Amino acid sequence: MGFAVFLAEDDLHLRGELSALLERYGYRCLFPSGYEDLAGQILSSGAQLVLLDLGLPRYDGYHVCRDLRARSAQLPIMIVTSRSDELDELMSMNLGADDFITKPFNPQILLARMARLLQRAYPSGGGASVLFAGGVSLDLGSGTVRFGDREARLTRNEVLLLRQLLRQPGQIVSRDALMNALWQSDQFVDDNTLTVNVTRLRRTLEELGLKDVLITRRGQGYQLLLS
Amino acid sequence: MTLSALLKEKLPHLLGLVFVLLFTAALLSLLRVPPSATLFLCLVTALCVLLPLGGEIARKLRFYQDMEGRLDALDEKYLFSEVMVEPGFPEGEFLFSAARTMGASMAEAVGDARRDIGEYREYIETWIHEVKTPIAAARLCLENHPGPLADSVEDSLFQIEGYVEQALFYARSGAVDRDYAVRSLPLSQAVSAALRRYARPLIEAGFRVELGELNAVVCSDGKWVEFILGQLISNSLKYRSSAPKLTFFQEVKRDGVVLSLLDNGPGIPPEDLPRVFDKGFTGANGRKLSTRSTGLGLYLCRKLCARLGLGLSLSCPPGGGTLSALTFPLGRFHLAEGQPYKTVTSP
Repeated sequence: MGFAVFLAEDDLHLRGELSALLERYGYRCLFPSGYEDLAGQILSSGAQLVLLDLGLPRYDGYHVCRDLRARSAQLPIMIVTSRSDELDELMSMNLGADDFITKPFNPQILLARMARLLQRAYPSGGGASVLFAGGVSLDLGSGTVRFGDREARLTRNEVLLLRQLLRQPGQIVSRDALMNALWQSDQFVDDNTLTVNVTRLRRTLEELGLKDVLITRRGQGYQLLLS
Repeated sequence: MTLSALLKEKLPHLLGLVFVLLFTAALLSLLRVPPSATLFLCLVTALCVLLPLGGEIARKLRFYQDMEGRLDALDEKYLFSEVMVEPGFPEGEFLFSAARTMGASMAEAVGDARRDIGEYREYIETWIHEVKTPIAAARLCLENHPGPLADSVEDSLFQIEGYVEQALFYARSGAVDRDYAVRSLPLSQAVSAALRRYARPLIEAGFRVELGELNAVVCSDGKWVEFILGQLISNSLKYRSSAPKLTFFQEVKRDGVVLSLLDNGPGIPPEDLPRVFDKGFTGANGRKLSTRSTGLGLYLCRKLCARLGLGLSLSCPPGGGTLSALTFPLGRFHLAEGQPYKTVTSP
Protein backbone atom coordinates (compact mmCIF):
# COMPACT_ATOMS: atom_id res chain seq x y z
CA MET A 1 0.00 0.00 0.00
CA GLY A 2 1.33 3.42 -0.92
CA PHE A 3 1.90 6.41 1.27
CA ALA A 4 -1.03 8.44 2.57
CA VAL A 5 -0.92 12.04 1.39
CA PHE A 6 -3.09 14.79 2.83
CA LEU A 7 -4.15 17.39 0.27
CA ALA A 8 -4.82 20.67 2.07
CA GLU A 9 -5.99 22.48 -1.04
CA ASP A 10 -9.28 24.33 -1.36
CA ASP A 11 -9.55 24.46 -5.14
CA LEU A 12 -11.73 21.42 -5.83
CA HIS A 13 -10.81 21.04 -9.48
CA LEU A 14 -7.10 21.12 -8.74
CA ARG A 15 -7.58 18.77 -5.81
CA GLY A 16 -9.51 16.32 -7.97
CA GLU A 17 -6.86 16.23 -10.68
CA LEU A 18 -4.08 16.06 -8.13
CA SER A 19 -5.63 13.11 -6.33
CA ALA A 20 -6.23 11.35 -9.67
CA LEU A 21 -2.55 11.79 -10.50
CA LEU A 22 -1.32 10.69 -7.09
CA GLU A 23 -3.59 7.67 -7.00
CA ARG A 24 -2.31 6.66 -10.41
CA TYR A 25 1.15 6.65 -8.87
CA GLY A 26 0.05 4.52 -5.94
CA TYR A 27 -0.55 7.15 -3.29
CA ARG A 28 -3.59 7.25 -1.03
CA CYS A 29 -5.16 10.72 -0.83
CA LEU A 30 -6.86 12.28 2.19
CA PHE A 31 -8.88 15.48 2.16
CA PRO A 32 -9.93 18.03 4.75
CA SER A 33 -13.55 17.88 5.82
CA GLY A 34 -13.57 21.56 6.75
CA TYR A 35 -11.03 24.23 7.50
CA GLU A 36 -11.41 24.34 11.29
CA ASP A 37 -8.40 22.90 13.10
CA LEU A 38 -6.77 21.68 9.94
CA ALA A 39 -3.62 20.65 11.78
CA GLY A 40 -5.66 18.42 14.07
CA GLN A 41 -7.43 16.82 11.13
CA ILE A 42 -4.15 16.17 9.38
CA LEU A 43 -2.56 14.60 12.44
CA SER A 44 -5.53 12.37 13.18
CA SER A 45 -5.87 11.30 9.55
CA GLY A 46 -2.68 9.25 9.67
CA ALA A 47 -1.21 11.11 6.70
CA GLN A 48 2.48 10.55 5.99
CA LEU A 49 2.94 13.68 3.89
CA VAL A 50 1.03 16.95 3.63
CA LEU A 51 0.66 19.03 0.50
CA LEU A 52 -0.25 22.42 1.92
CA ASP A 53 -1.65 25.35 -0.02
CA LEU A 54 -0.80 28.77 1.44
CA GLY A 55 -4.06 30.47 0.49
CA LEU A 56 -6.54 28.45 2.52
CA PRO A 57 -9.96 29.81 3.51
CA ARG A 58 -9.98 29.90 7.30
CA TYR A 59 -6.39 30.24 8.45
CA ASP A 60 -3.66 30.69 5.92
CA GLY A 61 -1.13 27.99 5.19
CA TYR A 62 1.57 29.65 7.26
CA HIS A 63 -0.60 29.36 10.33
CA VAL A 64 -1.40 25.70 9.63
CA CYS A 65 2.26 25.00 8.93
CA ARG A 66 3.41 26.54 12.21
CA ASP A 67 0.64 24.72 14.08
CA LEU A 68 1.52 21.38 12.47
CA ARG A 69 5.21 21.76 13.13
CA ALA A 70 4.52 22.59 16.76
CA ARG A 71 2.49 19.41 17.18
CA SER A 72 4.53 17.03 15.05
CA ALA A 73 8.23 17.41 14.44
CA GLN A 74 8.54 14.66 11.83
CA LEU A 75 5.59 14.90 9.46
CA PRO A 76 6.93 16.05 6.08
CA ILE A 77 5.22 19.23 4.89
CA MET A 78 5.38 20.37 1.30
CA ILE A 79 4.06 23.83 0.48
CA VAL A 80 2.24 23.99 -2.86
CA THR A 81 1.44 27.58 -3.66
CA SER A 82 0.91 30.12 -6.38
CA ARG A 83 2.94 32.72 -4.49
CA SER A 84 6.32 32.59 -6.11
CA ASP A 85 8.40 35.02 -4.07
CA GLU A 86 11.72 34.03 -2.62
CA LEU A 87 10.39 35.61 0.55
CA ASP A 88 7.40 33.26 0.68
CA GLU A 89 9.76 30.36 0.27
CA LEU A 90 12.06 31.61 3.02
CA MET A 91 9.12 32.20 5.31
CA SER A 92 7.73 28.70 4.68
CA MET A 93 11.07 27.11 5.38
CA ASN A 94 11.43 29.13 8.56
CA LEU A 95 8.04 27.89 9.73
CA GLY A 96 9.20 24.32 9.33
CA ALA A 97 8.08 23.29 5.86
CA ASP A 98 10.33 20.68 4.21
CA ASP A 99 9.83 21.66 0.59
CA PHE A 100 8.24 24.38 -1.48
CA ILE A 101 6.84 24.09 -5.01
CA THR A 102 5.02 26.78 -6.95
CA LYS A 103 1.96 26.43 -9.12
CA PRO A 104 1.68 25.70 -11.95
CA PHE A 105 4.15 22.93 -11.24
CA ASN A 106 5.39 20.23 -13.53
CA PRO A 107 3.55 17.09 -12.31
CA GLN A 108 6.62 14.91 -12.72
CA ILE A 109 8.69 17.29 -10.64
CA LEU A 110 6.04 17.26 -7.93
CA LEU A 111 6.13 13.45 -7.91
CA ALA A 112 9.91 13.37 -7.82
CA ARG A 113 10.10 15.83 -4.93
CA MET A 114 7.39 13.98 -3.00
CA ALA A 115 9.26 10.71 -3.47
CA ARG A 116 12.49 12.29 -2.28
CA LEU A 117 10.79 13.76 0.77
CA LEU A 118 9.14 10.44 1.66
CA GLN A 119 12.36 8.55 1.10
CA ARG A 120 14.11 10.86 3.55
CA ALA A 121 11.34 10.77 6.15
CA TYR A 122 10.66 7.03 5.97
CA PRO A 123 13.93 5.38 4.88
CA SER A 124 12.61 1.89 5.54
CA GLY A 125 9.29 2.58 3.87
CA GLY A 126 10.65 1.47 0.49
CA GLY A 127 8.13 0.89 -2.26
CA ALA A 128 8.18 4.29 -3.86
CA SER A 129 11.75 4.06 -5.12
CA VAL A 130 11.43 0.72 -6.94
CA LEU A 131 9.49 0.43 -10.19
CA PHE A 132 8.15 -2.94 -11.39
CA ALA A 133 6.77 -3.96 -14.76
CA GLY A 134 6.70 -7.29 -16.58
CA GLY A 135 9.29 -8.95 -14.36
CA VAL A 136 11.70 -6.03 -14.60
CA SER A 137 12.46 -4.06 -11.49
CA LEU A 138 14.31 -0.77 -11.38
CA ASP A 139 15.74 0.44 -8.10
CA LEU A 140 15.87 4.21 -8.47
CA GLY A 141 18.01 4.63 -5.39
CA SER A 142 20.92 2.42 -6.40
CA GLY A 143 20.31 2.61 -10.15
CA THR A 144 20.19 -1.16 -10.64
CA VAL A 145 17.85 -3.03 -12.93
CA ARG A 146 16.90 -6.66 -12.24
CA PHE A 147 15.35 -9.31 -14.41
CA GLY A 148 15.09 -12.84 -13.13
CA ASP A 149 18.27 -13.52 -11.20
CA ARG A 150 20.42 -11.17 -13.21
CA GLU A 151 21.07 -7.55 -12.44
CA ALA A 152 22.98 -4.66 -13.96
CA ARG A 153 24.04 -1.19 -12.94
CA LEU A 154 22.77 1.66 -15.10
CA THR A 155 24.19 5.10 -15.70
CA ARG A 156 22.21 8.08 -14.46
CA ASN A 157 20.78 8.83 -17.89
CA GLU A 158 19.82 5.21 -18.45
CA VAL A 159 17.98 5.13 -15.12
CA LEU A 160 16.02 8.22 -16.13
CA LEU A 161 15.15 6.74 -19.52
CA LEU A 162 14.13 3.35 -18.16
CA ARG A 163 12.06 5.01 -15.48
CA GLN A 164 10.16 6.99 -18.08
CA LEU A 165 9.61 3.86 -20.20
CA LEU A 166 8.56 1.70 -17.25
CA ARG A 167 5.88 4.21 -16.36
CA GLN A 168 4.07 3.51 -19.61
CA PRO A 169 5.04 -0.07 -20.54
CA GLY A 170 3.74 -1.05 -23.95
CA GLN A 171 3.06 2.53 -24.95
CA ILE A 172 5.10 4.57 -27.38
CA VAL A 173 7.09 7.23 -25.56
CA SER A 174 8.15 10.10 -27.81
CA ARG A 175 11.78 11.13 -28.11
CA ASP A 176 10.80 14.59 -26.89
CA ALA A 177 9.23 13.16 -23.75
CA LEU A 178 12.35 11.10 -23.03
CA MET A 179 14.57 14.10 -23.59
CA ASN A 180 12.36 16.21 -21.37
CA ALA A 181 12.70 13.62 -18.61
CA LEU A 182 16.48 13.93 -18.88
CA TRP A 183 16.36 17.73 -19.00
CA GLN A 184 14.21 17.86 -15.87
CA SER A 185 17.10 16.09 -14.12
CA ASP A 186 19.56 18.69 -15.43
CA GLN A 187 20.90 16.44 -18.20
CA PHE A 188 20.56 18.81 -21.14
CA VAL A 189 21.25 16.24 -23.84
CA ASP A 190 20.68 16.64 -27.55
CA ASP A 191 19.14 14.26 -30.03
CA ASN A 192 22.34 12.32 -30.77
CA THR A 193 23.11 11.76 -27.10
CA LEU A 194 19.60 10.41 -26.60
CA THR A 195 20.14 7.89 -29.39
CA VAL A 196 23.45 6.81 -27.86
CA ASN A 197 21.87 6.45 -24.42
CA VAL A 198 18.96 4.43 -25.73
CA THR A 199 21.32 2.13 -27.64
CA ARG A 200 23.35 1.57 -24.51
CA LEU A 201 20.24 0.90 -22.44
CA ARG A 202 19.06 -1.58 -25.09
CA ARG A 203 22.40 -3.42 -24.91
CA THR A 204 22.23 -3.59 -21.11
CA LEU A 205 18.71 -5.00 -21.27
CA GLU A 206 19.87 -7.58 -23.82
CA GLU A 207 22.64 -8.65 -21.46
CA LEU A 208 19.94 -9.28 -18.86
CA GLY A 209 18.18 -11.55 -21.32
CA LEU A 210 15.62 -9.00 -22.46
CA LYS A 211 16.09 -9.17 -26.21
CA ASP A 212 14.10 -6.92 -28.53
CA VAL A 213 12.05 -5.30 -25.78
CA LEU A 214 13.07 -1.72 -26.47
CA ILE A 215 11.74 -1.01 -29.91
CA THR A 216 12.36 2.05 -32.05
CA ARG A 217 9.20 3.45 -33.63
CA ARG A 218 10.47 5.54 -36.50
CA GLY A 219 9.22 9.10 -36.27
CA GLN A 220 7.29 8.39 -33.10
CA GLY A 221 9.63 7.31 -30.34
CA TYR A 222 10.40 4.20 -28.34
CA GLN A 223 8.30 1.41 -26.97
CA LEU A 224 9.10 -0.95 -24.12
CA LEU A 225 7.40 -4.28 -24.80
CA LEU A 226 7.56 -6.59 -21.79
CA SER A 227 5.78 -9.91 -21.76
CA MET B 1 15.81 86.36 -10.59
CA THR B 2 18.55 88.91 -11.17
CA LEU B 3 19.12 92.45 -9.98
CA SER B 4 18.78 93.81 -13.52
CA ALA B 5 15.37 92.19 -13.93
CA LEU B 6 14.13 93.85 -10.74
CA LEU B 7 15.63 97.19 -11.75
CA LYS B 8 14.02 96.95 -15.14
CA GLU B 9 10.66 96.53 -13.48
CA LYS B 10 11.25 99.75 -11.55
CA LEU B 11 12.39 101.67 -14.63
CA PRO B 12 9.20 103.83 -14.83
CA HIS B 13 9.68 104.85 -11.19
CA LEU B 14 13.27 105.81 -11.85
CA LEU B 15 12.38 107.71 -15.02
CA GLY B 16 9.60 109.48 -13.09
CA LEU B 17 12.10 110.41 -10.42
CA VAL B 18 14.53 111.85 -12.97
CA PHE B 19 11.68 113.82 -14.54
CA VAL B 20 10.54 115.19 -11.18
CA LEU B 21 14.11 116.16 -10.29
CA LEU B 22 14.69 117.91 -13.62
CA PHE B 23 11.33 119.65 -13.38
CA THR B 24 12.03 120.78 -9.79
CA ALA B 25 15.51 122.00 -10.72
CA ALA B 26 14.15 123.95 -13.71
CA LEU B 27 11.33 125.47 -11.67
CA LEU B 28 13.60 126.47 -8.78
CA SER B 29 16.18 128.01 -11.12
CA LEU B 30 13.37 130.12 -12.69
CA LEU B 31 12.44 131.23 -9.14
CA ARG B 32 16.11 132.18 -8.62
CA VAL B 33 16.67 129.81 -5.73
CA PRO B 34 20.41 129.34 -5.14
CA PRO B 35 21.82 126.21 -6.89
CA SER B 36 23.09 124.74 -3.61
CA ALA B 37 19.54 124.80 -2.15
CA THR B 38 18.21 123.26 -5.37
CA LEU B 39 20.81 120.52 -5.19
CA PHE B 40 19.97 119.85 -1.53
CA LEU B 41 16.25 119.66 -2.25
CA CYS B 42 16.83 117.30 -5.20
CA LEU B 43 19.06 115.11 -3.08
CA VAL B 44 16.47 114.82 -0.32
CA THR B 45 13.72 114.03 -2.84
CA ALA B 46 15.87 111.40 -4.54
CA LEU B 47 16.77 109.76 -1.24
CA CYS B 48 13.10 109.68 -0.20
CA VAL B 49 12.33 107.63 -3.29
CA LEU B 50 15.53 105.62 -3.76
CA LEU B 51 15.97 104.35 -0.19
CA PRO B 52 12.61 102.51 0.09
CA LEU B 53 12.94 101.38 -3.53
CA GLY B 54 16.41 99.95 -2.88
CA GLY B 55 15.18 98.27 0.29
CA GLU B 56 12.33 96.66 -1.61
CA ILE B 57 14.58 95.46 -4.41
CA ALA B 58 17.11 94.04 -1.95
CA ARG B 59 14.36 92.22 -0.03
CA LYS B 60 12.83 90.76 -3.16
CA LEU B 61 16.19 89.77 -4.60
CA ARG B 62 17.12 87.98 -1.39
CA PHE B 63 13.74 86.20 -1.30
CA TYR B 64 13.75 85.09 -4.92
CA GLN B 65 17.33 83.87 -4.79
CA ASP B 66 16.57 81.95 -1.63
CA MET B 67 13.55 80.37 -3.31
CA GLU B 68 15.57 79.46 -6.38
CA GLY B 69 18.07 77.68 -4.18
CA ARG B 70 15.35 75.78 -2.37
CA LEU B 71 13.67 74.76 -5.62
CA ASP B 72 16.95 73.48 -7.02
CA ALA B 73 17.59 71.39 -3.94
CA LEU B 74 14.14 69.80 -4.13
CA ASP B 75 13.71 66.38 -5.78
CA GLU B 76 9.95 66.46 -6.10
CA LYS B 77 9.41 69.96 -7.47
CA TYR B 78 5.68 69.84 -6.86
CA LEU B 79 6.35 69.95 -3.12
CA PHE B 80 7.84 73.47 -3.53
CA SER B 81 5.08 75.16 -1.56
CA GLU B 82 6.12 73.12 1.48
CA VAL B 83 9.58 74.69 1.56
CA MET B 84 8.49 78.25 0.71
CA VAL B 85 8.84 80.91 3.39
CA GLU B 86 6.50 83.86 3.82
CA PRO B 87 7.63 86.49 1.29
CA GLY B 88 6.59 89.57 3.30
CA PHE B 89 5.33 91.63 0.32
CA PRO B 90 1.78 91.66 -1.07
CA GLU B 91 2.23 90.07 -4.53
CA GLY B 92 4.42 87.47 -2.87
CA GLU B 93 1.80 86.81 -0.21
CA PHE B 94 -0.80 86.20 -2.88
CA LEU B 95 1.43 83.83 -4.83
CA PHE B 96 2.48 82.16 -1.61
CA SER B 97 -1.06 81.29 -0.62
CA ALA B 98 -1.88 80.27 -4.20
CA ALA B 99 1.15 77.98 -4.25
CA ARG B 100 0.13 76.49 -0.90
CA THR B 101 -3.34 75.67 -2.20
CA MET B 102 -1.92 74.34 -5.44
CA GLY B 103 0.64 72.23 -3.61
CA ALA B 104 -1.95 70.72 -1.33
CA SER B 105 -4.23 69.77 -4.20
CA MET B 106 -1.28 68.43 -6.18
CA ALA B 107 -0.05 66.34 -3.27
CA GLU B 108 -3.53 64.94 -2.91
CA ALA B 109 -3.77 64.13 -6.62
CA VAL B 110 -0.36 62.48 -6.59
CA GLY B 111 -1.28 60.52 -3.48
CA ASP B 112 -4.53 59.36 -5.09
CA ALA B 113 -2.74 58.31 -8.26
CA ARG B 114 -0.09 56.43 -6.27
CA ARG B 115 -2.72 54.64 -4.24
CA ASP B 116 -4.65 53.74 -7.39
CA ILE B 117 -1.51 52.35 -9.01
CA GLY B 118 -0.68 50.47 -5.83
CA GLU B 119 -4.15 48.97 -5.63
CA TYR B 120 -4.10 48.07 -9.29
CA ARG B 121 -0.72 46.42 -8.91
CA GLU B 122 -1.97 44.51 -5.91
CA TYR B 123 -4.99 43.39 -7.87
CA ILE B 124 -2.79 42.25 -10.75
CA GLU B 125 -0.57 40.28 -8.38
CA THR B 126 -3.55 38.65 -6.70
CA TRP B 127 -5.07 37.88 -10.05
CA ILE B 128 -1.84 36.30 -11.23
CA HIS B 129 -1.67 34.13 -8.13
CA GLU B 130 -5.29 33.14 -8.58
CA VAL B 131 -4.92 32.22 -12.22
CA LYS B 132 -1.99 29.94 -11.48
CA THR B 133 -4.25 27.49 -9.66
CA PRO B 134 -6.46 26.72 -12.68
CA ILE B 135 -3.33 26.51 -14.84
CA ALA B 136 -1.92 23.95 -12.41
CA ALA B 137 -5.22 22.05 -12.48
CA ALA B 138 -5.27 22.05 -16.29
CA ARG B 139 -1.70 20.79 -16.40
CA LEU B 140 -2.54 17.94 -14.01
CA CYS B 141 -5.59 17.13 -16.10
CA LEU B 142 -3.36 16.82 -19.18
CA GLU B 143 -0.92 14.63 -17.24
CA ASN B 144 -3.83 12.37 -16.29
CA HIS B 145 -5.05 12.12 -19.89
CA PRO B 146 -1.91 11.94 -22.05
CA GLY B 147 -2.08 11.96 -25.82
CA PRO B 148 -1.53 14.19 -28.85
CA LEU B 149 -4.35 16.50 -27.77
CA ALA B 150 -2.77 16.90 -24.36
CA ASP B 151 0.60 17.68 -25.97
CA SER B 152 -0.89 20.42 -28.07
CA VAL B 153 -2.86 21.94 -25.19
CA GLU B 154 0.27 21.72 -23.05
CA ASP B 155 2.07 23.93 -25.58
CA SER B 156 -0.63 26.58 -25.30
CA LEU B 157 -0.62 26.26 -21.55
CA PHE B 158 3.12 26.85 -21.56
CA GLN B 159 2.58 30.07 -23.49
CA ILE B 160 -0.16 31.22 -21.14
CA GLU B 161 2.11 30.57 -18.21
CA GLY B 162 4.85 32.60 -19.87
CA TYR B 163 2.59 35.60 -20.34
CA VAL B 164 1.29 35.32 -16.78
CA GLU B 165 4.83 35.24 -15.44
CA GLN B 166 5.77 38.24 -17.55
CA ALA B 167 2.81 40.19 -16.19
CA LEU B 168 3.84 39.32 -12.65
CA PHE B 169 7.34 40.60 -13.15
CA TYR B 170 6.06 43.66 -14.97
CA ALA B 171 3.96 44.51 -11.93
CA ARG B 172 6.91 43.87 -9.64
CA SER B 173 9.39 45.83 -11.68
CA GLY B 174 7.64 49.10 -10.89
CA ALA B 175 7.03 48.63 -7.18
CA VAL B 176 9.64 50.52 -5.22
CA ASP B 177 8.60 49.00 -1.92
CA ARG B 178 8.69 45.43 -3.18
CA ASP B 179 11.52 43.55 -1.61
CA TYR B 180 13.38 40.73 -3.15
CA ALA B 181 15.48 38.18 -1.33
CA VAL B 182 19.14 38.33 -2.14
CA ARG B 183 20.75 35.02 -1.35
CA SER B 184 23.82 33.27 -2.57
CA LEU B 185 23.04 31.78 -5.93
CA PRO B 186 25.22 29.32 -7.83
CA LEU B 187 25.12 30.30 -11.50
CA SER B 188 24.71 26.66 -12.54
CA GLN B 189 21.55 26.47 -10.46
CA ALA B 190 20.00 29.54 -12.11
CA VAL B 191 20.89 28.35 -15.61
CA SER B 192 19.58 24.82 -14.98
CA ALA B 193 16.31 26.12 -13.57
CA ALA B 194 15.76 28.33 -16.62
CA LEU B 195 16.62 25.49 -18.99
CA ARG B 196 14.30 23.06 -17.19
CA ARG B 197 11.48 25.53 -17.54
CA TYR B 198 12.06 25.98 -21.27
CA ALA B 199 12.83 22.28 -21.85
CA ARG B 200 9.73 21.55 -23.92
CA PRO B 201 10.06 24.27 -26.57
CA LEU B 202 13.86 23.95 -26.68
CA ILE B 203 13.70 20.20 -27.28
CA GLU B 204 10.92 20.60 -29.81
CA ALA B 205 13.01 23.14 -31.73
CA GLY B 206 15.96 20.74 -31.63
CA PHE B 207 18.27 22.95 -29.60
CA ARG B 208 21.73 21.78 -28.63
CA VAL B 209 22.75 23.15 -25.25
CA GLU B 210 26.34 23.58 -24.24
CA LEU B 211 27.25 24.49 -20.70
CA GLY B 212 30.68 25.89 -20.02
CA GLU B 213 32.06 25.71 -16.53
CA LEU B 214 29.50 27.49 -14.35
CA ASN B 215 30.96 27.35 -10.88
CA ALA B 216 30.65 30.96 -9.75
CA VAL B 217 28.38 31.73 -6.83
CA VAL B 218 26.83 35.19 -6.93
CA CYS B 219 24.39 36.93 -4.62
CA SER B 220 21.04 37.78 -6.12
CA ASP B 221 17.37 36.86 -6.14
CA GLY B 222 17.13 33.44 -7.79
CA LYS B 223 13.58 33.85 -9.08
CA TRP B 224 14.34 37.17 -10.75
CA VAL B 225 17.53 35.94 -12.36
CA GLU B 226 15.74 32.82 -13.55
CA PHE B 227 13.05 34.95 -15.13
CA ILE B 228 15.61 37.17 -16.88
CA LEU B 229 17.46 34.12 -18.21
CA GLY B 230 14.11 32.70 -19.33
CA GLN B 231 13.36 35.83 -21.34
CA LEU B 232 16.78 35.62 -23.00
CA ILE B 233 16.25 31.93 -23.80
CA SER B 234 12.82 32.66 -25.20
CA ASN B 235 14.40 35.25 -27.53
CA SER B 236 16.89 32.65 -28.73
CA LEU B 237 13.91 30.36 -29.31
CA LYS B 238 12.05 32.94 -31.35
CA TYR B 239 15.00 33.89 -33.52
CA ARG B 240 16.84 30.67 -34.28
CA SER B 241 18.72 29.02 -37.07
CA SER B 242 17.97 25.62 -38.57
CA ALA B 243 20.49 23.86 -36.32
CA PRO B 244 19.92 25.91 -33.19
CA LYS B 245 22.47 25.99 -30.43
CA LEU B 246 22.71 27.70 -27.05
CA THR B 247 25.92 28.14 -25.09
CA PHE B 248 26.19 29.33 -21.51
CA PHE B 249 29.52 30.35 -20.03
CA GLN B 250 30.88 32.49 -17.25
CA GLU B 251 33.77 34.91 -16.95
CA VAL B 252 35.09 35.74 -13.51
CA LYS B 253 36.54 39.22 -13.67
CA ARG B 254 38.16 41.44 -11.09
CA ASP B 255 35.02 43.56 -10.67
CA GLY B 256 32.37 40.91 -11.08
CA VAL B 257 31.08 37.80 -12.77
CA VAL B 258 29.63 37.81 -16.26
CA LEU B 259 27.18 35.12 -17.26
CA SER B 260 26.91 34.94 -21.03
CA LEU B 261 24.41 33.26 -23.28
CA LEU B 262 25.36 32.84 -26.91
CA ASP B 263 23.03 31.54 -29.59
CA ASN B 264 23.63 30.91 -33.27
CA GLY B 265 20.50 32.68 -34.47
CA PRO B 266 20.30 35.45 -37.07
CA GLY B 267 21.69 38.08 -34.68
CA ILE B 268 20.41 41.63 -34.45
CA PRO B 269 20.89 44.20 -37.24
CA PRO B 270 23.41 46.83 -36.03
CA GLU B 271 20.93 49.66 -36.50
CA ASP B 272 18.46 47.90 -34.16
CA LEU B 273 20.99 47.04 -31.48
CA PRO B 274 20.86 50.35 -29.57
CA ARG B 275 17.08 50.15 -29.29
CA VAL B 276 16.46 46.53 -28.26
CA PHE B 277 15.79 47.51 -24.65
CA ASP B 278 13.18 50.12 -25.60
CA LYS B 279 9.64 49.32 -24.62
CA GLY B 280 7.60 48.05 -27.56
CA PHE B 281 10.59 47.89 -29.90
CA THR B 282 10.46 44.80 -32.08
CA GLY B 283 12.97 45.63 -34.80
CA ALA B 284 13.46 44.05 -38.17
CA ASN B 285 13.75 40.55 -36.68
CA GLY B 286 10.59 40.98 -34.68
CA ARG B 287 8.62 41.91 -37.76
CA LYS B 288 10.14 39.35 -40.09
CA LEU B 289 10.88 36.28 -38.02
CA SER B 290 8.36 36.16 -35.24
CA THR B 291 4.66 36.71 -35.08
CA ARG B 292 4.65 37.02 -31.33
CA SER B 293 7.09 39.79 -30.67
CA THR B 294 5.77 42.16 -28.02
CA GLY B 295 8.87 44.23 -27.47
CA LEU B 296 8.40 43.76 -23.74
CA GLY B 297 10.81 40.99 -22.80
CA LEU B 298 14.11 42.84 -23.01
CA TYR B 299 12.59 46.09 -21.75
CA LEU B 300 11.46 44.22 -18.66
CA CYS B 301 14.83 42.48 -18.29
CA ARG B 302 16.63 45.79 -18.30
CA LYS B 303 14.23 47.18 -15.70
CA LEU B 304 14.59 44.18 -13.41
CA CYS B 305 18.37 44.23 -13.83
CA ALA B 306 18.43 47.88 -12.83
CA ARG B 307 16.52 47.06 -9.67
CA LEU B 308 18.80 44.15 -8.85
CA GLY B 309 21.88 46.19 -9.70
CA LEU B 310 22.91 43.84 -12.49
CA GLY B 311 24.29 44.77 -15.88
CA LEU B 312 22.73 43.47 -19.07
CA SER B 313 24.08 43.92 -22.55
CA LEU B 314 23.39 42.43 -25.95
CA SER B 315 25.85 42.25 -28.77
CA CYS B 316 26.43 40.44 -32.02
CA PRO B 317 29.88 38.82 -32.11
CA PRO B 318 31.62 38.56 -35.48
CA GLY B 319 31.08 34.79 -35.47
CA GLY B 320 27.33 35.33 -35.73
CA GLY B 321 24.42 34.91 -33.34
CA THR B 322 23.48 37.01 -30.37
CA LEU B 323 25.49 37.28 -27.18
CA SER B 324 23.64 38.31 -24.03
CA ALA B 325 25.80 39.14 -21.05
CA LEU B 326 24.46 39.40 -17.53
CA THR B 327 26.94 41.06 -15.18
CA PHE B 328 26.87 40.50 -11.43
CA PRO B 329 29.08 43.31 -10.21
CA LEU B 330 31.36 42.87 -7.28
CA GLY B 331 30.14 45.12 -4.53
CA ARG B 332 28.76 45.30 -1.06
CA PHE B 333 25.20 44.82 -2.31
CA HIS B 334 25.92 41.59 -4.13
CA LEU B 335 28.07 39.90 -1.59
CA ALA B 336 27.27 38.24 1.63
CA GLU B 337 30.31 39.38 3.60
CA GLY B 338 32.13 41.60 1.18
CA GLN B 339 34.10 38.59 0.06
CA PRO B 340 35.14 38.29 -3.54
CA TYR B 341 33.15 35.81 -5.56
CA LYS B 342 33.81 32.28 -4.59
CA THR B 343 33.70 29.49 -7.05
CA VAL B 344 32.69 25.96 -6.25
CA THR B 345 33.99 22.98 -8.09
CA SER B 346 31.23 21.04 -9.73
CA PRO B 347 30.81 17.46 -8.53
